Amino acid sequence: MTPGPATLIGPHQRKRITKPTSRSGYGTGRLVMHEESGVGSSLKFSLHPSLGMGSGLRIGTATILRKQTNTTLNVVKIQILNKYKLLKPLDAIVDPDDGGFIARSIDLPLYGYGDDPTEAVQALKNEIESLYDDLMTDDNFTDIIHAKREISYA
Amino acid sequence: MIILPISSMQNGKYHTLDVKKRCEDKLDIKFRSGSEFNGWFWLDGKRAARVTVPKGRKPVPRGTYSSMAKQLKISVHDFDEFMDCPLTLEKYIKILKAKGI
Repeated sequence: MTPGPATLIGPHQRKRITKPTSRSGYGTGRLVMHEESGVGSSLKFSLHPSLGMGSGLRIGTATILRKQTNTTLNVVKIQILNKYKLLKPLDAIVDPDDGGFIARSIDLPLYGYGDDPTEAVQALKNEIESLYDDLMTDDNFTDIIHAKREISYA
Repeated sequence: MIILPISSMQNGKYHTLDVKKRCEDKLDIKFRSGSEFNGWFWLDGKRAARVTVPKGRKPVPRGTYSSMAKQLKISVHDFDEFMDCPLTLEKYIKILKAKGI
């Protein structure tokens, strides 16, 4: 696959800045990156819909990670799980963690641990689904009702 | 890279199974086995906190250790005490109630 251009929205300005992608350790492709203004150096990226099935990448999911050397956070968007598809993507941060990797949801008190980033993200996806199944059993919860808004079965 | 405090974090002393055992003994959490162990802490008849314990890690990685503390809604320091034994069930419930949970 030929690497495509990446679009970076600069901080505080929401101005698009283009720069070519470089080959990542986990795959190449067209990435659209967005930098949140007011959130420091955090980056979000998502797979461009133009990626084809032949690329081996899953369209719309966050199984491909782009490690940024000039930022402090590796952020992925998770939308397609094993059984479900989220109506709204969830953001997760992936970091090295003492020999492995940890993927932590920003919006939910969930994390996944793995020997590599892909495994950590997959573990987090499993946790998201497990939490959703728990939330759907009954309303016997103290303070996680807001989490129901983040996850919707599609 | 998220910078974690270089404080009394006791993650190096424990295996993830130690965390699981402590949660089972002190908090009466019933863990389900899937790709990871996870279970709920019940407070006043309601699910109050959900904790995930990875399988087979010693020592417990630092980020994972702090994430488990966060899932139990306590600080890393309180989680250290929970693991070391000074934090009893009654004290844990008191912390949760003080947070309005």
